[in-house]
Amino acid sequence: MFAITPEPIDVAAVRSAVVDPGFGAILVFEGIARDDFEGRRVLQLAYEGYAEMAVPVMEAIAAEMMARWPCRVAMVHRVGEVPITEPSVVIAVGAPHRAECYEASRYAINGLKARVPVWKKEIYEDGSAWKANAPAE
Amino acid sequence: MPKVTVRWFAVLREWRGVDAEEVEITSGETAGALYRRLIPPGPQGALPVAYARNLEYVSASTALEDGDEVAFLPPLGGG
Repeated sequence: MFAITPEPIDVAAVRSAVVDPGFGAILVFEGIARDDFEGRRVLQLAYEGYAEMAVPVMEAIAAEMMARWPCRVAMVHRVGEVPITEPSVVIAVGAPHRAECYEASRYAINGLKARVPVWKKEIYEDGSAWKANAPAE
Repeated sequence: MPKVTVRWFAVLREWRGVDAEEVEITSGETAGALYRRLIPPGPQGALPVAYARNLEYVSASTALEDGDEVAFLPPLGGG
């Protein structure tokens, strides 16, 4: 499951996409819309995506992961306004063991932030700004 | 004249005022050259963009062809 959606993300459905009888570990990463960026209060967050390109880039990241670890991955990114405390992105990774599951999960979110064409606009009390991601951790 | 469809996103969409437009290109024009032509240097031209041609990342030196979909991607903010 790889998607860009204007709807609230169904976290359970993303998780379900990576269930496998041979997997002893599943990690579900939720990136959450938060109300504070370097001390400025964010009233509203809005995401915009290049959906036709974003989905194949997600699939490419997943293919790289599956070549490297025995795993399965699902990624959904929400666009439009995302209310504070709701997930803007959900990534589920299933793998036989926790070690590769943690590694693969980190690879997925870092890859998404660096390569999937999605943008974030923060609206403050006194203006707004398009916020770029920092380099990968 | 060959033409491409240019897609605009985020801050570039706001600067340009449209989501997408058809643009004539010169023969062999590269993605980087087209960007500099459409968004001339200045405060705006300093934006570090990535280039996409037909939904795949390409380098600035990639030559465009008639019918391509081109996008100039401002710094990403997903996640």
